[in-house]
Amino acid sequence: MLVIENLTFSQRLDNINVYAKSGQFVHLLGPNGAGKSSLLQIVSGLGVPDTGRVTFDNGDIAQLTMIELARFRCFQEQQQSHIFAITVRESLSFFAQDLVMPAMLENALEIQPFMTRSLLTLSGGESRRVQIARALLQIWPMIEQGQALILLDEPSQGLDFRHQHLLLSCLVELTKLGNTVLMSHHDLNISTQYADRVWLMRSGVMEHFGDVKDVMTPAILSEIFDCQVREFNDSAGNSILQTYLP
Amino acid sequence: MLGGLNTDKQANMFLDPVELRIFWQLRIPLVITALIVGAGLAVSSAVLQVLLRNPLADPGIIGISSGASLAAALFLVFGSTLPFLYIQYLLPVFCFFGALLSTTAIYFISKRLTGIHSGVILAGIAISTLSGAIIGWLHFLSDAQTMLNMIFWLIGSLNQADWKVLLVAAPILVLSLGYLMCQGRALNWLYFGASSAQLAGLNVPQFHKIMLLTCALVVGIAVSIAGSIAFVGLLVPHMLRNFFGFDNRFILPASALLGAIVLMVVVLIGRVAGDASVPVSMLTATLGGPIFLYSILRLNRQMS
Repeated sequence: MLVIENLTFSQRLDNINVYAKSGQFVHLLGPNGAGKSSLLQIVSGLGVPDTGRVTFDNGDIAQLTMIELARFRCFQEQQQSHIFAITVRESLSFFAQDLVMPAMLENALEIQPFMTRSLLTLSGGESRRVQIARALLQIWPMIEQGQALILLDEPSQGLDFRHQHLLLSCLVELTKLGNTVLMSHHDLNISTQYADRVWLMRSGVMEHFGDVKDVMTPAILSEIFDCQVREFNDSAGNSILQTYLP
Repeated sequence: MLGGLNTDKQANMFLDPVELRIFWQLRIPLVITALIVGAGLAVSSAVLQVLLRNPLADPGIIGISSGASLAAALFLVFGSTLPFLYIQYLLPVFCFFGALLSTTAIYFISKRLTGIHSGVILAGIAISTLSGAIIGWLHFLSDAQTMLNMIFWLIGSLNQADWKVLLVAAPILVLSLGYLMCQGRALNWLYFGASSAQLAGLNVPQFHKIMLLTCALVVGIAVSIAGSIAFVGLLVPHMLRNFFGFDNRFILPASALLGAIVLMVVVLIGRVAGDASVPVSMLTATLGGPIFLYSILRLNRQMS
Protein backbone atom coordinates (compact mmCIF):
# COMPACT_ATOMS: atom_id res chain seq x y z
CA MET A 1 0.00 0.00 0.00
CA LEU A 2 1.33 3.39 -1.06
CA VAL A 3 0.11 6.27 1.10
CA ILE A 4 0.87 9.94 0.51
CA GLU A 5 -0.11 12.27 3.38
CA ASN A 6 -0.16 16.07 3.54
CA LEU A 7 2.67 16.25 1.03
CA THR A 8 3.98 19.72 0.23
CA PHE A 9 7.13 20.43 -1.78
CA SER A 10 8.51 23.92 -2.59
CA GLN A 11 6.08 25.64 -4.98
CA ARG A 12 5.28 22.47 -6.90
CA LEU A 13 3.21 20.18 -4.70
CA ASP A 14 0.45 21.50 -2.48
CA ASN A 15 -0.85 19.35 0.37
CA ILE A 16 -1.34 16.08 -1.49
CA ASN A 17 -3.28 13.25 0.12
CA VAL A 18 -3.76 10.11 -1.92
CA TYR A 19 -3.18 6.37 -1.72
CA ALA A 20 -2.89 3.26 -3.88
CA LYS A 21 -3.43 -0.33 -2.82
CA SER A 22 -0.78 -2.93 -3.56
CA GLY A 23 -1.23 -4.44 -6.99
CA GLN A 24 -2.94 -1.39 -8.44
CA PHE A 25 -1.99 0.18 -11.76
CA VAL A 26 -2.19 3.94 -11.16
CA HIS A 27 -2.02 6.46 -14.00
CA LEU A 28 -0.91 9.96 -13.09
CA LEU A 29 -2.36 12.52 -15.51
CA GLY A 30 -2.33 16.28 -15.76
CA PRO A 31 -1.21 19.19 -17.91
CA ASN A 32 2.48 20.14 -18.28
CA GLY A 33 3.89 21.57 -15.08
CA ALA A 34 1.12 20.06 -12.95
CA GLY A 35 3.69 18.48 -10.61
CA LYS A 36 3.61 14.86 -11.88
CA SER A 37 7.38 14.48 -12.09
CA SER A 38 7.88 16.21 -8.74
CA LEU A 39 5.43 13.81 -7.13
CA LEU A 40 7.18 10.79 -8.67
CA GLN A 41 10.54 12.11 -7.51
CA ILE A 42 9.39 12.49 -3.93
CA VAL A 43 7.76 9.05 -3.93
CA SER A 44 11.00 7.57 -5.29
CA GLY A 45 12.97 9.06 -2.40
CA LEU A 46 15.09 11.29 -4.65
CA GLY A 47 13.53 14.42 -3.18
CA VAL A 48 12.69 15.28 0.42
CA PRO A 49 9.30 16.91 0.96
CA ASP A 50 8.91 20.11 2.98
CA THR A 51 6.05 18.61 4.95
CA GLY A 52 4.08 15.39 4.92
CA ARG A 53 5.25 11.89 4.19
CA VAL A 54 5.13 8.96 1.83
CA THR A 55 4.87 5.39 3.10
CA PHE A 56 5.01 2.12 1.20
CA ASP A 57 3.92 -1.05 3.02
CA ASN A 58 4.18 0.98 6.26
CA GLY A 59 7.81 1.98 5.66
CA ASP A 60 8.45 5.74 5.60
CA ILE A 61 10.29 6.45 2.32
CA ALA A 62 12.19 9.38 3.85
CA GLN A 63 13.48 7.15 6.69
CA LEU A 64 14.84 4.40 4.44
CA THR A 65 18.42 4.46 3.19
CA MET A 66 19.14 4.59 -0.54
CA ILE A 67 20.32 0.97 -0.40
CA GLU A 68 17.10 -0.19 1.27
CA LEU A 69 14.99 1.73 -1.26
CA ALA A 70 16.99 0.34 -4.19
CA ARG A 71 15.84 -3.20 -3.27
CA PHE A 72 12.13 -2.70 -3.90
CA ARG A 73 11.64 0.63 -5.69
CA CYS A 74 12.60 1.53 -9.25
CA PHE A 75 12.10 4.82 -11.04
CA GLN A 76 12.43 5.47 -14.75
CA GLU A 77 13.09 9.18 -14.97
CA GLN A 78 11.78 11.32 -17.78
CA GLN A 79 15.12 12.89 -18.65
CA GLN A 80 18.07 10.73 -19.59
CA SER A 81 21.20 11.89 -21.34
CA HIS A 82 23.98 9.60 -22.44
CA ILE A 83 27.56 10.77 -22.77
CA PHE A 84 29.42 7.46 -22.89
CA ALA A 85 29.25 5.02 -25.82
CA ILE A 86 28.26 2.08 -23.59
CA THR A 87 26.53 -0.86 -25.27
CA VAL A 88 22.96 -1.67 -24.28
CA ARG A 89 24.00 -5.04 -22.86
CA GLU A 90 26.75 -3.57 -20.71
CA SER A 91 24.54 -0.75 -19.45
CA LEU A 92 21.94 -3.29 -18.30
CA SER A 93 24.60 -5.47 -16.68
CA PHE A 94 25.57 -2.60 -14.35
CA PHE A 95 22.08 -2.54 -12.83
CA ALA A 96 20.80 -6.12 -13.07
CA GLN A 97 21.72 -8.75 -10.51
CA ASP A 98 21.20 -11.37 -13.19
CA LEU A 99 22.00 -10.63 -16.81
CA VAL A 100 19.46 -13.07 -18.24
CA MET A 101 16.68 -10.92 -19.66
CA PRO A 102 13.35 -12.24 -18.30
CA ALA A 103 11.14 -13.46 -21.18
CA MET A 104 8.23 -11.33 -20.01
CA LEU A 105 10.31 -8.19 -20.20
CA GLU A 106 11.91 -9.05 -23.54
CA ASN A 107 8.50 -9.81 -25.08
CA ALA A 108 7.27 -6.36 -24.08
CA LEU A 109 10.34 -4.26 -24.80
CA GLU A 110 12.00 -6.22 -27.63
CA ILE A 111 15.48 -4.87 -26.98
CA GLN A 112 17.38 -8.02 -28.04
CA PRO A 113 17.97 -6.70 -31.63
CA PHE A 114 20.03 -3.75 -30.37
CA MET A 115 21.74 -5.35 -27.37
CA THR A 116 25.20 -4.84 -28.86
CA ARG A 117 24.66 -1.29 -30.06
CA SER A 118 25.93 1.81 -28.27
CA LEU A 119 23.41 3.83 -26.25
CA LEU A 120 24.42 6.89 -28.27
CA THR A 121 23.15 5.39 -31.53
CA LEU A 122 19.63 4.45 -30.35
CA SER A 123 16.51 6.28 -31.48
CA GLY A 124 14.36 8.04 -28.89
CA GLY A 125 11.91 5.16 -28.57
CA GLU A 126 14.62 2.48 -28.46
CA SER A 127 16.49 4.45 -25.84
CA ARG A 128 13.32 4.73 -23.74
CA ARG A 129 12.73 0.96 -23.97
CA VAL A 130 16.27 0.28 -22.74
CA GLN A 131 15.79 2.76 -19.93
CA ILE A 132 12.58 1.02 -18.81
CA ALA A 133 14.34 -2.37 -18.96
CA ARG A 134 17.17 -1.02 -16.82
CA ALA A 135 14.79 0.31 -14.17
CA LEU A 136 12.79 -2.92 -13.97
CA LEU A 137 15.85 -5.23 -14.02
CA GLN A 138 17.31 -3.41 -11.03
CA ILE A 139 14.56 -4.78 -8.77
CA TRP A 140 13.49 -7.82 -10.82
CA PRO A 141 13.77 -10.32 -7.90
CA MET A 142 11.38 -8.14 -5.89
CA ILE A 143 9.05 -7.76 -8.89
CA GLU A 144 8.86 -11.56 -9.21
CA GLN A 145 7.80 -11.70 -5.55
CA GLY A 146 5.15 -9.08 -6.28
CA GLN A 147 6.32 -6.60 -3.64
CA ALA A 148 7.86 -3.90 -5.80
CA LEU A 149 7.00 -0.22 -6.23
CA ILE A 150 7.43 0.67 -9.91
CA LEU A 151 7.57 4.37 -10.80
CA LEU A 152 7.64 5.43 -14.45
CA ASP A 153 7.74 9.02 -15.72
CA GLU A 154 6.27 9.08 -19.23
CA PRO A 155 7.54 5.61 -20.20
CA SER A 156 5.47 5.59 -23.39
CA GLN A 157 7.05 8.81 -24.68
CA GLY A 158 8.62 8.06 -28.07
CA LEU A 159 7.27 4.51 -28.26
CA ASP A 160 5.31 3.44 -31.35
CA PHE A 161 1.74 2.24 -30.57
CA ARG A 162 2.62 -1.43 -30.80
CA HIS A 163 5.32 -0.98 -28.15
CA GLN A 164 3.05 1.24 -26.07
CA HIS A 165 0.48 -1.57 -25.92
CA LEU A 166 3.14 -4.23 -25.31
CA LEU A 167 4.54 -2.16 -22.43
CA LEU A 168 1.16 -1.41 -20.89
CA SER A 169 0.08 -5.08 -21.10
CA CYS A 170 3.33 -6.11 -19.44
CA LEU A 171 2.78 -3.59 -16.63
CA VAL A 172 -0.74 -4.96 -16.12
CA GLU A 173 0.81 -8.44 -15.72
CA LEU A 174 3.26 -7.03 -13.17
CA THR A 175 0.43 -5.53 -11.12
CA LYS A 176 -1.32 -8.92 -11.15
CA LEU A 177 1.76 -10.30 -9.36
CA GLY A 178 1.04 -7.76 -6.60
CA ASN A 179 3.40 -4.97 -7.65
CA THR A 180 2.23 -1.37 -7.43
CA VAL A 181 2.80 0.64 -10.60
CA LEU A 182 2.57 4.43 -10.74
CA MET A 183 3.15 5.98 -14.15
CA SER A 184 2.61 9.38 -15.72
CA HIS A 185 1.72 9.88 -19.38
CA HIS A 186 -0.48 11.91 -21.73
CA ASP A 187 -2.82 9.49 -23.52
CA LEU A 188 -6.37 9.41 -22.14
CA ASN A 189 -7.37 6.28 -24.08
CA ILE A 190 -4.36 4.35 -22.75
CA SER A 191 -5.70 5.08 -19.26
CA THR A 192 -9.25 3.98 -20.02
CA GLN A 193 -7.84 0.75 -21.47
CA TYR A 194 -5.26 -0.18 -18.83
CA ALA A 195 -5.51 1.83 -15.58
CA ASP A 196 -7.00 0.60 -12.30
CA ARG A 197 -6.94 4.05 -10.77
CA VAL A 198 -6.32 7.53 -12.13
CA TRP A 199 -4.77 10.46 -10.27
CA LEU A 200 -5.49 13.83 -11.86
CA MET A 201 -3.22 16.73 -10.98
CA ARG A 202 -3.24 20.42 -11.83
CA SER A 203 -0.97 23.21 -10.52
CA GLY A 204 0.54 21.05 -7.78
CA VAL A 205 -2.85 19.97 -6.48
CA MET A 206 -4.34 16.45 -6.63
CA GLU A 207 -7.73 17.48 -8.07
CA HIS A 208 -9.31 14.03 -8.48
CA PHE A 209 -8.38 10.44 -7.82
CA GLY A 210 -10.35 7.25 -8.11
CA ASP A 211 -11.54 4.55 -10.49
CA VAL A 212 -11.30 5.17 -14.21
CA LYS A 213 -15.08 5.38 -14.71
CA ASP A 214 -15.47 7.99 -11.95
CA VAL A 215 -12.57 10.24 -12.88
CA MET A 216 -12.21 9.94 -16.65
CA THR A 217 -15.36 11.84 -17.56
CA PRO A 218 -15.39 14.48 -20.31
CA ALA A 219 -16.53 17.13 -17.83
CA ILE A 220 -13.69 16.55 -15.35
CA LEU A 221 -11.04 16.08 -18.04
CA SER A 222 -12.08 19.20 -19.98
CA GLU A 223 -11.75 21.27 -16.84
CA ILE A 224 -8.39 19.84 -15.68
CA PHE A 225 -6.69 20.08 -19.09
CA ASP A 226 -8.41 23.30 -20.19
CA CYS A 227 -9.19 21.56 -23.48
CA GLN A 228 -12.41 20.04 -24.80
CA VAL A 229 -12.90 16.28 -24.32
CA ARG A 230 -15.80 14.26 -25.72
CA GLU A 231 -16.66 10.63 -25.42
CA PHE A 232 -18.15 8.38 -28.09
CA ASN A 233 -18.34 4.70 -28.87
CA ASP A 234 -16.47 3.10 -31.73
CA SER A 235 -18.04 0.45 -34.02
CA ALA A 236 -17.07 -2.28 -31.54
CA GLY A 237 -18.79 -0.46 -28.71
CA ASN A 238 -15.60 0.71 -26.93
CA SER A 239 -15.68 4.12 -25.32
CA ILE A 240 -13.22 6.51 -26.97
CA LEU A 241 -12.14 9.92 -25.62
CA GLN A 242 -11.39 12.57 -28.17
CA THR A 243 -9.67 15.86 -27.42
CA TYR A 244 -10.06 19.08 -29.39
CA LEU A 245 -9.92 22.83 -29.01
CA PRO A 246 -13.29 24.61 -28.85
CA MET B 1 82.50 -16.31 -26.03
CA LEU B 2 80.55 -13.07 -26.29
CA GLY B 3 77.68 -14.54 -24.32
CA GLY B 4 80.09 -15.57 -21.61
CA LEU B 5 81.45 -12.07 -21.37
CA ASN B 6 77.97 -10.62 -21.08
CA THR B 7 76.98 -12.85 -18.17
CA ASP B 8 80.25 -11.96 -16.53
CA LYS B 9 79.48 -8.31 -16.86
CA GLN B 10 75.92 -8.77 -15.60
CA ALA B 11 77.13 -10.77 -12.61
CA ASN B 12 79.71 -8.12 -11.88
CA MET B 13 77.15 -5.36 -11.90
CA PHE B 14 75.77 -6.63 -8.62
CA LEU B 15 79.23 -6.90 -7.11
CA ASP B 16 80.61 -3.55 -8.20
CA PRO B 17 79.73 -1.19 -5.31
CA VAL B 18 79.33 1.83 -7.61
CA GLU B 19 76.95 -0.01 -9.97
CA LEU B 20 75.06 -1.40 -7.02
CA ARG B 21 74.70 2.05 -5.53
CA ILE B 22 73.40 3.43 -8.83
CA PHE B 23 71.01 0.52 -9.07
CA TRP B 24 69.57 1.00 -5.57
CA GLN B 25 69.74 4.77 -5.23
CA LEU B 26 68.76 5.82 -8.75
CA ARG B 27 67.27 3.06 -10.89
CA ILE B 28 64.90 1.46 -8.38
CA PRO B 29 63.43 4.80 -7.19
CA LEU B 30 63.04 5.79 -10.85
CA VAL B 31 61.14 2.59 -11.62
CA ILE B 32 58.95 2.85 -8.52
CA THR B 33 58.20 6.51 -9.34
CA ALA B 34 57.25 5.64 -12.92
CA LEU B 35 55.00 2.77 -11.81
CA ILE B 36 53.09 4.57 -9.08
CA VAL B 37 52.80 7.90 -10.88
CA GLY B 38 51.58 6.21 -14.08
CA ALA B 39 49.08 4.08 -12.19
CA GLY B 40 47.98 7.02 -10.03
CA LEU B 41 47.35 9.43 -12.89
CA ALA B 42 45.53 6.83 -14.99
CA VAL B 43 43.24 5.56 -12.22
CA SER B 44 42.37 9.02 -10.88
CA SER B 45 41.49 10.13 -14.41
CA ALA B 46 39.41 7.01 -14.98
CA VAL B 47 37.47 7.95 -11.83
CA LEU B 48 37.21 11.65 -12.68
CA GLN B 49 35.91 10.91 -16.18
CA VAL B 50 32.91 9.12 -14.65
CA LEU B 51 32.49 11.45 -11.69
CA LEU B 52 32.37 14.52 -13.92
CA ARG B 53 30.57 12.68 -16.75
CA ASN B 54 33.21 13.80 -19.20
CA PRO B 55 34.96 11.07 -21.25
CA LEU B 56 38.02 13.30 -21.66
CA ALA B 57 38.45 14.61 -18.10
CA ASP B 58 41.91 14.60 -16.62
CA PRO B 59 43.47 16.08 -13.46
CA GLY B 60 45.16 18.70 -15.64
CA ILE B 61 42.01 19.73 -17.43
CA ILE B 62 39.92 20.10 -14.29
CA GLY B 63 42.61 22.04 -12.49
CA ILE B 64 43.81 19.70 -9.75
CA SER B 65 47.38 19.71 -11.05
CA SER B 66 47.35 23.46 -11.65
CA GLY B 67 47.20 24.11 -7.90
CA ALA B 68 50.16 21.81 -7.41
CA SER B 69 52.09 23.57 -10.16
CA LEU B 70 51.33 26.97 -8.69
CA ALA B 71 52.49 25.84 -5.24
CA ALA B 72 55.70 24.50 -6.80
CA ALA B 73 56.33 27.72 -8.71
CA LEU B 74 55.72 29.85 -5.62
CA PHE B 75 58.05 27.68 -3.62
CA LEU B 76 60.79 27.79 -6.25
CA VAL B 77 60.61 31.57 -6.41
CA PHE B 78 60.37 32.39 -2.72
CA GLY B 79 62.25 29.42 -1.32
CA SER B 80 65.20 29.49 -3.71
CA THR B 81 67.50 30.85 -0.99
CA LEU B 82 66.94 27.74 1.15
CA PRO B 83 69.61 25.02 1.12
CA PHE B 84 69.13 22.50 -1.69
CA LEU B 85 68.28 19.72 0.78
CA TYR B 86 65.24 21.63 2.05
CA ILE B 87 64.09 22.45 -1.45
CA GLN B 88 64.25 18.81 -2.41
CA TYR B 89 61.99 17.66 0.41
CA LEU B 90 59.77 20.67 0.94
CA LEU B 91 58.81 21.00 -2.73
CA PRO B 92 56.72 17.78 -2.79
CA VAL B 93 54.97 18.80 0.42
CA PHE B 94 54.09 22.19 -1.05
CA CYS B 95 52.79 20.62 -4.29
CA PHE B 96 50.67 18.22 -2.39
CA PHE B 97 48.96 20.95 -0.39
CA GLY B 98 48.62 23.00 -3.57
CA ALA B 99 46.68 20.14 -5.18
CA LEU B 100 44.46 19.70 -2.13
CA LEU B 101 43.83 23.44 -1.93
CA SER B 102 42.89 23.79 -5.60
CA THR B 103 40.60 20.74 -5.42
CA THR B 104 38.88 22.11 -2.34
CA ALA B 105 38.47 25.47 -4.07
CA ILE B 106 37.07 23.78 -7.18
CA TYR B 107 34.73 21.71 -5.05
CA PHE B 108 33.29 24.68 -3.16
CA ILE B 109 33.00 26.89 -6.24
CA SER B 110 31.24 24.12 -8.16
CA LYS B 111 28.81 23.66 -5.24
CA ARG B 112 27.71 27.25 -5.78
CA LEU B 113 27.23 26.59 -9.52
CA THR B 114 24.28 24.26 -8.91
CA GLY B 115 22.43 25.53 -11.96
CA ILE B 116 25.26 24.61 -14.33
CA HIS B 117 25.72 21.02 -15.44
CA SER B 118 29.50 20.99 -15.73
CA GLY B 119 30.14 23.16 -12.68
CA VAL B 120 33.25 21.25 -11.58
CA ILE B 121 34.87 21.57 -14.99
CA LEU B 122 34.10 25.29 -15.26
CA ALA B 123 35.40 25.89 -11.74
CA GLY B 124 38.49 23.87 -12.72
CA ILE B 125 39.07 25.97 -15.82
CA ALA B 126 38.77 29.13 -13.72
CA ILE B 127 41.28 27.88 -11.15
CA SER B 128 43.65 26.60 -13.89
CA THR B 129 43.55 29.91 -15.73
CA LEU B 130 44.21 31.82 -12.53
CA SER B 131 47.08 29.51 -11.55
CA GLY B 132 48.51 29.70 -15.06
CA ALA B 133 48.38 33.49 -14.94
CA ILE B 134 50.18 33.65 -11.60
CA ILE B 135 52.80 31.15 -12.82
CA GLY B 136 53.26 33.32 -15.91
CA TRP B 137 53.85 36.42 -13.76
CA LEU B 138 56.31 34.50 -11.61
CA HIS B 139 58.19 33.48 -14.76
CA PHE B 140 58.22 37.07 -15.88
CA LEU B 141 59.47 38.45 -12.58
CA SER B 142 61.96 35.78 -11.53
CA ASP B 143 65.69 35.62 -12.27
CA ALA B 144 67.16 33.32 -14.89
CA GLN B 145 68.13 30.42 -12.60
CA THR B 146 64.75 30.29 -10.83
CA MET B 147 63.00 30.43 -14.16
CA LEU B 148 65.05 27.49 -15.41
CA ASN B 149 64.20 25.51 -12.27
CA MET B 150 60.53 26.26 -12.77
CA ILE B 151 60.57 25.20 -16.40
CA PHE B 152 62.29 21.95 -15.56
CA TRP B 153 59.89 21.21 -12.77
CA LEU B 154 56.80 22.04 -14.83
CA ILE B 155 57.70 19.67 -17.66
CA GLY B 156 57.98 16.81 -15.23
CA SER B 157 60.74 14.42 -14.40
CA LEU B 158 60.75 10.91 -13.02
CA ASN B 159 64.28 11.26 -11.67
CA GLN B 160 63.44 13.59 -8.82
CA ALA B 161 62.24 11.16 -6.19
CA ASP B 162 64.61 9.35 -3.85
CA TRP B 163 63.94 6.78 -1.16
CA LYS B 164 63.15 9.34 1.55
CA VAL B 165 60.37 10.86 -0.55
CA LEU B 166 59.12 7.54 -1.87
CA LEU B 167 58.90 5.91 1.55
CA VAL B 168 56.30 8.52 2.52
CA ALA B 169 54.59 9.00 -0.84
CA ALA B 170 54.36 5.45 -2.18
CA PRO B 171 52.40 3.82 0.68
CA ILE B 172 49.81 6.63 0.77
CA LEU B 173 49.47 6.57 -3.00
CA VAL B 174 49.16 2.79 -3.21
CA LEU B 175 46.56 2.69 -0.42
CA SER B 176 44.49 5.46 -2.05
CA LEU B 177 44.72 3.67 -5.39
CA GLY B 178 43.55 0.45 -3.76
CA TYR B 179 40.57 2.30 -2.32
CA LEU B 180 39.68 3.91 -5.67
CA MET B 181 39.90 0.56 -7.45
CA CYS B 182 37.26 -0.94 -5.14
CA GLN B 183 34.64 1.63 -6.22
CA GLY B 184 33.97 0.14 -9.67
CA ARG B 185 30.38 -0.91 -9.02
CA ALA B 186 29.26 2.51 -7.79
CA LEU B 187 31.12 4.26 -10.60
CA ASN B 188 29.31 2.05 -13.13
CA TRP B 189 26.02 3.50 -11.90
CA LEU B 190 27.36 7.04 -12.18
CA TYR B 191 27.80 6.72 -15.95
CA PHE B 192 24.04 7.37 -16.08
CA GLY B 193 24.10 10.45 -13.86
CA ALA B 194 23.74 11.26 -10.18
CA SER B 195 20.07 10.39 -9.82
CA SER B 196 20.44 6.99 -11.54
CA ALA B 197 23.24 6.13 -9.11
CA GLN B 198 21.17 7.38 -6.20
CA LEU B 199 18.21 5.26 -7.32
CA ALA B 200 20.53 2.25 -7.51
CA GLY B 201 21.42 2.76 -3.85
CA LEU B 202 24.41 5.11 -3.74
CA ASN B 203 24.74 8.07 -1.37
CA VAL B 204 25.89 10.30 -4.22
CA PRO B 205 26.83 13.58 -2.44
CA GLN B 206 29.00 11.74 0.08
CA PHE B 207 30.53 9.48 -2.59
CA HIS B 208 31.32 12.48 -4.78
CA LYS B 209 33.12 14.25 -1.96
CA ILE B 210 35.19 11.23 -0.93
CA MET B 211 36.16 10.35 -4.49
CA LEU B 212 37.16 13.93 -5.42
CA LEU B 213 39.35 14.21 -2.33
CA THR B 214 40.94 10.79 -2.88
CA CYS B 215 41.71 11.73 -6.49
CA ALA B 216 43.22 15.00 -5.28
CA LEU B 217 45.36 13.04 -2.84
CA VAL B 218 46.60 10.70 -5.57
CA VAL B 219 47.20 13.47 -8.11
CA GLY B 220 48.79 15.71 -5.49
CA ILE B 221 51.29 12.99 -4.61
CA ALA B 222 51.94 12.11 -8.26
CA VAL B 223 52.55 15.74 -9.22
CA SER B 224 54.66 16.38 -6.15
CA ILE B 225 57.11 13.56 -6.91
CA ALA B 226 57.18 13.79 -10.72
CA GLY B 227 56.01 17.24 -11.74
CA SER B 228 53.09 17.75 -14.04
CA ILE B 229 52.78 14.94 -16.58
CA ALA B 230 50.31 15.52 -19.36
CA PHE B 231 47.95 13.18 -21.21
CA VAL B 232 48.71 9.84 -19.50
CA GLY B 233 45.69 10.25 -17.25
CA LEU B 234 43.44 11.37 -20.04
CA LEU B 235 44.35 8.75 -22.61
CA VAL B 236 44.91 5.51 -20.73
CA PRO B 237 41.37 4.97 -19.39
CA HIS B 238 39.84 6.51 -22.48
CA MET B 239 41.63 4.04 -24.78
CA LEU B 240 40.86 1.09 -22.49
CA ARG B 241 37.16 1.95 -22.54
CA ASN B 242 37.23 2.19 -26.31
CA PHE B 243 38.59 -1.31 -26.62
CA PHE B 244 37.31 -3.26 -23.62
CA GLY B 245 34.00 -1.66 -22.66
CA PHE B 246 33.04 0.48 -19.71
CA ASP B 247 32.91 -1.83 -16.68
CA ASN B 248 34.96 0.03 -14.07
CA ARG B 249 35.53 -3.17 -12.10
CA PHE B 250 37.87 -4.02 -14.99
CA ILE B 251 38.80 -0.54 -16.26
CA LEU B 252 40.22 0.73 -12.95
CA PRO B 253 42.79 -2.05 -12.37
CA ALA B 254 43.56 -2.16 -16.10
CA SER B 255 44.19 1.61 -16.07
CA ALA B 256 46.60 1.18 -13.17
CA LEU B 257 48.49 -1.47 -15.11
CA LEU B 258 48.55 0.35 -18.45
CA GLY B 259 49.37 3.72 -16.84
CA ALA B 260 52.35 2.11 -15.11
CA ILE B 261 53.43 0.44 -18.37
CA VAL B 262 53.19 3.70 -20.35
CA LEU B 263 55.44 5.59 -17.94
CA MET B 264 57.88 2.66 -17.89
CA VAL B 265 58.03 2.89 -21.68
CA VAL B 266 58.72 6.61 -21.33
CA VAL B 267 61.58 5.77 -18.94
CA LEU B 268 62.94 3.25 -21.46
CA ILE B 269 62.76 5.74 -24.31
CA GLY B 270 64.60 8.21 -22.10
CA ARG B 271 67.34 5.62 -21.45
CA VAL B 272 67.63 4.72 -25.11
CA ALA B 273 67.77 8.38 -26.08
CA GLY B 274 70.89 8.76 -23.95
CA ASP B 275 71.81 9.71 -20.43
CA ALA B 276 70.29 13.15 -20.53
CA SER B 277 66.81 12.51 -19.15
CA VAL B 278 64.21 13.44 -21.73
CA PRO B 279 61.42 15.55 -20.18
CA VAL B 280 58.52 13.22 -19.46
CA SER B 281 55.72 15.59 -20.37
CA MET B 282 57.36 16.27 -23.69
CA LEU B 283 57.31 12.58 -24.53
CA THR B 284 53.81 11.91 -23.23
CA ALA B 285 52.46 14.95 -25.10
CA THR B 286 54.24 13.92 -28.30
CA LEU B 287 52.75 10.45 -28.11
CA GLY B 288 49.48 11.60 -26.58
CA GLY B 289 48.62 14.53 -28.83
CA PRO B 290 47.91 12.48 -31.98
CA ILE B 291 46.10 9.78 -29.99
CA PHE B 292 43.99 12.46 -28.35
CA LEU B 293 43.08 13.92 -31.74
CA TYR B 294 42.11 10.47 -32.99
CA SER B 295 40.01 9.92 -29.86
CA ILE B 296 37.99 13.11 -30.14
CA LEU B 297 37.32 12.46 -33.83
CA ARG B 298 36.19 8.95 -32.99
CA LEU B 299 34.04 10.29 -30.15
CA ASN B 300 32.40 12.69 -32.57
CA ARG B 301 31.57 9.77 -34.88
CA GLN B 302 29.97 7.87 -32.01
CA MET B 303 27.90 10.86 -30.93
CA SER B 304 26.55 11.69 -34.35
